[in-house]
Amino acid sequence: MPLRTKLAVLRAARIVARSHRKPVLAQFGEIARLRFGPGRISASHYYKYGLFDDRLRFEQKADFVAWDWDYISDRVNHPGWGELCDDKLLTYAALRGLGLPFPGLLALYHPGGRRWGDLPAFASEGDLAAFLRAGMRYPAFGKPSNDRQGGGASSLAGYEAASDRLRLASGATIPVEEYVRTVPGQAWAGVVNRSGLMRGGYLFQELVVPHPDIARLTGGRSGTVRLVVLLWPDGPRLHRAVGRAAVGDNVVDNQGVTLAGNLRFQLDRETGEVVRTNRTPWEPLAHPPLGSHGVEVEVHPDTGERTNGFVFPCWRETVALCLRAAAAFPAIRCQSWDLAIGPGGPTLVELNMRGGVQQVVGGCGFNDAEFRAFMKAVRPG
Amino acid sequence: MLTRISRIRPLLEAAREVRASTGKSFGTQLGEILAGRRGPGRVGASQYYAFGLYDPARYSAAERAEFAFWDWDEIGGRLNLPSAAALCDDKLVTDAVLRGLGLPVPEVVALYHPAGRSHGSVPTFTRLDDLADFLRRDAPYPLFGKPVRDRQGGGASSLSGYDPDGDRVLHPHDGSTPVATYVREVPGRYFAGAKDRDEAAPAGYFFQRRIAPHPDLAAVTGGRGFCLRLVVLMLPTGPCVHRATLKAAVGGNIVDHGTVGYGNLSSLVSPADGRVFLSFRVRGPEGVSPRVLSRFGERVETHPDTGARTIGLRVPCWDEAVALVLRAAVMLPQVRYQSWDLLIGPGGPVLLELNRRGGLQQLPGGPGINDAVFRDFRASGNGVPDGPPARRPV
Repeated sequence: MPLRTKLAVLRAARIVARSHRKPVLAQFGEIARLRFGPGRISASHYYKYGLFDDRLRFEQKADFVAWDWDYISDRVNHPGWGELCDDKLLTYAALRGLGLPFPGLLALYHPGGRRWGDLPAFASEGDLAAFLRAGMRYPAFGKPSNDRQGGGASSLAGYEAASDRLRLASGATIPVEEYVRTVPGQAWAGVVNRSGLMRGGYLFQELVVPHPDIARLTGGRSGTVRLVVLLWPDGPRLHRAVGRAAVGDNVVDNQGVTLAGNLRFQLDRETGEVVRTNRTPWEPLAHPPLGSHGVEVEVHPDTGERTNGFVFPCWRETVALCLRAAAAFPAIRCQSWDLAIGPGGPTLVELNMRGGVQQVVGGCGFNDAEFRAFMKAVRPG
Repeated sequence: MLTRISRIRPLLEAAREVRASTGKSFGTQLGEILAGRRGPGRVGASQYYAFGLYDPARYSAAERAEFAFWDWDEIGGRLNLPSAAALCDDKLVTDAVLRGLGLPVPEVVALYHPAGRSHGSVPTFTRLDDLADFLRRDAPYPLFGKPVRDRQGGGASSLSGYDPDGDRVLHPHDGSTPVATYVREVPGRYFAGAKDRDEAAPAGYFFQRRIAPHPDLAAVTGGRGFCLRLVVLMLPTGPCVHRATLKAAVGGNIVDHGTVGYGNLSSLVSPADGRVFLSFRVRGPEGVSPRVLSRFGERVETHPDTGARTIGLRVPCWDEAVALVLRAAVMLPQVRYQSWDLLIGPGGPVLLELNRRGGLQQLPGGPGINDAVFRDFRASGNGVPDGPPARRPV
């Protein structure tokens, strides 16, 4: 552990000792026990997840994990299925072939000449710019086909012919040429793309208008759900449900951008009700790692709407759709699906093979008895 | 020692035959074998004789050097993205993706998967009894069944219809099997694969509508199965068809694979004009020949069952078939070395399979794989990463 991290941990321990009346030695004893447990919780993670809080029993704390993103996938998923998740154009092709709903595609930019069915595809920035001026159907959402955590995403509200500028969802405008060069162009050049796999291109798709209930909560901003499905030997079951809501001018609702300040909800998987809300850091933290994975809040900071108790609409349909889709991908035993819920119901946005562990601060850990039984069932011995 | 002698003796006999027929001395033959062995193709003595590389009338030194004896993974593993393997290896994934891209594929009509895998709106059965009922009542015959994940026709079956009087499924060429026996012995046995079994993660057994062959090809094969293999290289300048092979079933075979053991017919097709210029019948269940010079089979000019001439045959719908694979190829950049299998029906070409380890498509008397185009392709490194992606933190 670097010296800077050690000092930060010591500082956090002293703060917790004062705020929670928990001696530093007791904290370190707990960290040691968790460190050698299956979750491999480090001192940093102990403070990031707030595991010093004794409202959680030790058994509950031991359910938390600090696993690498690949940890689960390497153990239960077939590596040959990775590209079906990592390359969104491939995911959408499969979903379309299976008759499953996803946000419609509008255009593709790929200088290498990749095509996707009859979708308008452009190999030059000039041709893409011409399409954005004359052929695009707005509003549109753009993202690299291979990326993660919202990297390179953009949300376009429309085109203003008089000034030859694109209007962004935030209300700001940008010259068409500049947008093409700095967003899809940079994504292709690898400036934004962080997946390191291959250059899949930059796609544009229909923006999913949030369901009115979600729009009321978020002020019309993005609000999606992440469902973690485990493929047991007898079929798929929902393991975790997490909701997300964008805050401020953010075009995506995940936690990928530094200081995004978005909301993350632990959901009751049976009902879709928000039982706990975290807000990820939106300004530099005073005492990291304390608060690094967010702090508890109860209202959306822009709308003032109460989040805890909010029930995501169309919950039954959302879970049913996800389980139906999951059964078509049998070699991905731990699937993380992102779904958007619009006025017409749920739609599949992404399938992730290495979708993280979806632990909300103060909530429950990923490696609970159910998950442990799943691992035993699919990896006997 | 005895084993070594038994291996060398057929080679010496071949060398003697070659000296008699071509006048090429033992020393010259040995020199050519060593050059091939040390070259990029790593061609050994057996292949030198079996592929006829000694023949000065057919092969110059440069053409000989283009032959390769690489493992299937030598190309597929190095040139294609390993994380995209499912796109080729799992036939239901291939079907879903190609269908989703608006490309023509045979209709999938049923799936048997004990753990409940689904495939869109296709009827799926987790119990063999339910599958048997489907075959009795609802199946749209004729059908072709195969494991979702396997190779070279392993576990395949062809069903022409159902006989309610005998409660039997009918096969091509007059055979039949009781339905209960068929579901137990074929889908029930092969749902985890036949040649490449994976019982820990079975992919299932599925049925497609059988597509009638184009009349021009049916006339040659007598209505037996065939497929067109087109090998596409994803060059930096765009995709190109590098090799084309027409594979046709012989006798009672329901699959058309050109590997030794089936006795089928493999014909090389010129990518330039779609005409067959070389036909070869591979050896059947008797296996490879002890005579090295005809180890894999023999050159022929006609289909052995119908007597129809294959040399000079132009593949029907050739231009449409090439256009189709080139259109499909640019939609799947993860697979740089694409081996497509197509069926050509009365309505035109249909994509049957995409293989990432599609073999080398070399036949005795034909060209080697490692020509100038292929060497440039291997050197181009177009878009495939050199190493695994960085691991990500929580």
